[in-house]
Amino acid sequence: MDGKVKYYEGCGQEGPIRCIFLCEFHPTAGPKITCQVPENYISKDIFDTVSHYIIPKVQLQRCTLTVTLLGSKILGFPVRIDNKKYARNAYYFNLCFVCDAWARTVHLEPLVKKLTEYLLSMELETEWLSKQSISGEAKALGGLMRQVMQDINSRRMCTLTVGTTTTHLTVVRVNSDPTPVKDHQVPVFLYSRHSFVADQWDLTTNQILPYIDGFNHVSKIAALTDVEISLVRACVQNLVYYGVVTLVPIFQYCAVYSATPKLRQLTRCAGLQRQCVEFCARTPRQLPKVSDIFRMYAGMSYGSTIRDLCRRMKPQELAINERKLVLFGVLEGLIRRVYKFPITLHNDDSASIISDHSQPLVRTYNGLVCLDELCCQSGLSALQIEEQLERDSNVIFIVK
Amino acid sequence: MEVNPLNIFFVKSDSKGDRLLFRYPYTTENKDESKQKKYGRHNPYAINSTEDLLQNPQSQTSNICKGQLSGFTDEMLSTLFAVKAELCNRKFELKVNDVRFVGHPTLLPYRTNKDDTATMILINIVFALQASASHSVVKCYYDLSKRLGKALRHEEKRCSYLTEEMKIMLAAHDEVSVLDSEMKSDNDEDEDNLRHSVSSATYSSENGADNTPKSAFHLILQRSSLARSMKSVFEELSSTGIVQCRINKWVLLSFCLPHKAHQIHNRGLIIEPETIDKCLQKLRPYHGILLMVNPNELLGSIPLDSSSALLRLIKLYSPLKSLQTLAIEADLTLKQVSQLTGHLVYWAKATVIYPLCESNVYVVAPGANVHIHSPLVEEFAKEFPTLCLLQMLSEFSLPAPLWYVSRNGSGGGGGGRLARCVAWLLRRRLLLQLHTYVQFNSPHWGRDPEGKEYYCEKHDIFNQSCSVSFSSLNQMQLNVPEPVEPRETINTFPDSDEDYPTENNLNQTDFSHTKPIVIESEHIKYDKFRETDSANHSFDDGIDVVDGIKPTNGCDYETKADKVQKKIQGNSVDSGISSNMNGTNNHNGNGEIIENGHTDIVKTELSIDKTDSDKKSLPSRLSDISLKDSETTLNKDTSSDEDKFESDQDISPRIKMNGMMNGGEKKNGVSLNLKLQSEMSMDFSFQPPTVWNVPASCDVIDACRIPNEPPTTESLLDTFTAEERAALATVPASKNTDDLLLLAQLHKKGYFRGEQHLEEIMFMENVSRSQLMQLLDKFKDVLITFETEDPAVAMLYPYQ
Repeated sequence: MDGKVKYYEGCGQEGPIRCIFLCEFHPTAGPKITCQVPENYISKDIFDTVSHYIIPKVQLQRCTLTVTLLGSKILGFPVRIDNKKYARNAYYFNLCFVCDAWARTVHLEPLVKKLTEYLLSMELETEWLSKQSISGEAKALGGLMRQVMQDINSRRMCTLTVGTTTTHLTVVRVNSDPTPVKDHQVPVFLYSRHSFVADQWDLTTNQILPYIDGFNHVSKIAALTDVEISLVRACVQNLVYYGVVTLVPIFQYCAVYSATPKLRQLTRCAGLQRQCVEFCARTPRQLPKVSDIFRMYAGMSYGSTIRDLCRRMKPQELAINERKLVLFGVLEGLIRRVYKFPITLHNDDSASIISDHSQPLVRTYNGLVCLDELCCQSGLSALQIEEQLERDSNVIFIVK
Repeated sequence: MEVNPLNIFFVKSDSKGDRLLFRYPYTTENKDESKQKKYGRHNPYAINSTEDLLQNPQSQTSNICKGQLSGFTDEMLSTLFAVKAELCNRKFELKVNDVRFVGHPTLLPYRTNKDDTATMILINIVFALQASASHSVVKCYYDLSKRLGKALRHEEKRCSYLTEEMKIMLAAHDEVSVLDSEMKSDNDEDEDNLRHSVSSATYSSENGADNTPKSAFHLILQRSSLARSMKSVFEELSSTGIVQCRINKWVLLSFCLPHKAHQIHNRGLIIEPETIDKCLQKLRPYHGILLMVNPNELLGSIPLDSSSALLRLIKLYSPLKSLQTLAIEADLTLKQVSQLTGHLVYWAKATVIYPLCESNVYVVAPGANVHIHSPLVEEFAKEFPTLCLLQMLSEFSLPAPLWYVSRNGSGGGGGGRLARCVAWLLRRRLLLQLHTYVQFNSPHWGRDPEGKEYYCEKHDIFNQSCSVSFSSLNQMQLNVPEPVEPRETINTFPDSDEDYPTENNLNQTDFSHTKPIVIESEHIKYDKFRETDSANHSFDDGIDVVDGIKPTNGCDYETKADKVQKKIQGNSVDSGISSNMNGTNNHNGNGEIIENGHTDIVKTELSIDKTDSDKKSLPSRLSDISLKDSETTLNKDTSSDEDKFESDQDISPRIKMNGMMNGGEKKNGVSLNLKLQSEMSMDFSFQPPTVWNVPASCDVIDACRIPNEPPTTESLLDTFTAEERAALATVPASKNTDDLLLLAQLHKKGYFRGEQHLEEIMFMENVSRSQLMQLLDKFKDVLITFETEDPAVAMLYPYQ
């Protein structure tokens, strides 16, 4: 019942592999399932209706095909081997994964392809597949498919060994490309660093890892680790893609945050409260009160900086670490950062007025660069920059 | 971009086999280009290792080339789309590499030429999309395919339209293939060779096969009206996302792809139908609509056979009006209005807002495009020649009520212009409205009334693994409250009026430029502005009582009142109308109301309140809860009607006062109407009550009951727990019974759980903003306010 509500078609969630089968083109009987795990998941009738998508015409060989019908999704990668030794001079086969119709299956496509190519190479070398199909038992194949299904469903990775050959299969989440990382952004771990297996990552990533603490921004990490900044950016982007870290705005006392509608969750969800209280505490011995934390968050609005808030609320007396408070709020989506964008308006007389400015070249601001980024680029504090900009009558600020 | 279709196909399958009859667009990339691309992929200096079995032949990974479908022959597609009979009349979805095909195979009876025996024929209109298109896009295309199939089935049954069109198409195909076979007989061998090798599978399709159908499809497009319809469907989908097409000049097919349609007004804004559904569920009577297009154009574009309710709604539309007001004026139920709103939003003709009013607080939306060279800057300059978009936006850098912006801002030029400007900015999703929410600082954080802890799904896991006891944190201490000078309630009213100025001329501003239908005529629009609207009320707050001088135009209302009188339901929901009637009666006599009068009234009000609370507590049957629980209680029996009558009498002096004062004003807000409602119900209480089908979310009826229900302080304080009461006791303001009563009332109804914003409380509970603000100020030790956007409205903004 619950499952039906949660899993509807298009929910965008991944589902387990329900079945794996190998289908081939029999010289006399036509398309048929050689081996299926578990047995009879795809009935003969269903198979007959969809068989021409599973053993398709010639042009569709070596294409990832996904067909959704009758409540299930069938993924395949049809392959043909031309050789005189086979009846009809060719051997067609397709290894298919079956999932529920609601499930997302894009991430399984490379898996199907790789597994098929593994089988293909074994077939070419030792006729591993065709021999089994002729014998009609296909025990080895069945075992292999069962192992794939179990391991992928439970561990999302699988190591297959047949004879002397080995192949590794891993499910890789398919995400859209992460946006470029900017120097002023702060990477922060999404889960405990202890569960992070450092061996799986490259050397540069390992070098910058200790400095990812949720407060250091990218250019600071680069300075601290003595790594070229573009490498740090690339590493962080890579970590973002794999969902290890996320990027949050840099903490500054002059920063402005605004509560989001999600803030009211804090009044309701005890789990969130507990997490929040523990995270935001100055010391683990003295935990702050939820109501104080909520008051702090509620006080964050357009026009009031963290500095103002701290002066008013005195978080140190409430046992609240305001940096962690902000970090937690941003990570949980309780608050969002409000950025300030300087914009140069094009007035015709602008050039003459600012000519005596300290900087020789007057910069124009196009509305895409926020103050944080400017600070980071120029190495000035936000206050200095703001002062500088306010002297310029053509610059206006948009806060959003 | 991924919402655009790549191609549309029309496939038939009958006893004579399957055939791709038409596709659009049918021009494919030419041979040379594809060959170049093929070589371009490989490094010319690399050794081509044919031995490497896993690398060669290289498998194809993309079937999209320069935004067009490539690598499929027509024959191949027709076999793929001609599904088995078992798969007919259900969703067909096939993904090949990065192309997704969606269709609804339709089986229909078909008359062959020679005899009239009907055989079955399968037709499938398939759309090719990019595989990355979201599921809800795919669903919409599927729906379109299904509708096209149905239209064709209908036309085939009516006049054998399909038969005729197919005949034309087949004839064209044959004609071209005959010509072609003569011309290119030498090419055929070449082509055959290519087809049989796996390696060339990708590219062979481009060779011979495509030159033939190119001209055939061209011929078909000239000869067949069905082909032209399909072409127009494809083109409309790619350009606007709205399809208006008549199949065989008979069946009108209206279809909207909201993902695309909303991008006409806001580039990059993708609104899925699911989001619209969610938004509609959260729609409340105080929300309003903001049309994205000129209402006159919209009226013109609506088909003749459309619902008259929609036409009425659009004619009465104003961004200043709430749905409730629109419902009353257009003589529709609230449910109808919200459904129509959903319809308008779906078709990208409108968006949901909180009605424009001067107390609204706007900030620049987080997703707003503020690039200095964005096309919006130009558009804005065209619309408002003297203003600069970016300067305008910088006015909204601090959250301030609109009247403040218009008074201080350089973007002046009158409130009407500002309102037009804000409407424009809201349409482009450049502004976002902030609301104030109130949270009672209860010691029971995270517990429901039974004391159970609630966990949202996400944090449930954490709970299980967490060993720290949270209960120790539950003892709440309140800060020592600052001594608040106890003062007379009467005095506080003018006090608060300073914060929310009563006499700002902006109140008089006409927002009517946003009024669509009449733009020129001055006085009419003035009236329109003064029409009942909760939004108006919300920024007039105390002003309702204080300045009563408003220009009126009574005759408009008289007719309306007449009309309405026939259908007075003796029910509170109609109250808005009844107040109009009041207005018509009184409008001649409305004079200036002086400040003294105001204070007097307040005094009387308060005294009545006090006496009420002292002397009686009404039986619970009138309480809002009972009404809320069972909507059927609206269908009251006579006895309860009489009770209502009685209670009305008790309260009537206050109401009457207000009625006298405000009745003349044409601008009375809904909540004011609700006050007047009790008066009305006195007049009409003997009419048989009618059942009103009000959605449960619209607790307007509750709102009306408040003045009628003065419960005792004790009973209301029961809603607080012992700790809460202890905390309350330390607040000096709680000495004042009235304040405490109001607090308790609002708390009891759950307004202090951070769910409802101030405007909603004002709307539902018929309290003025100044009253609320005072209450919040007095109880600021136990009430926490925070400002954020209304989720229902924010849903229709681009993802941040």
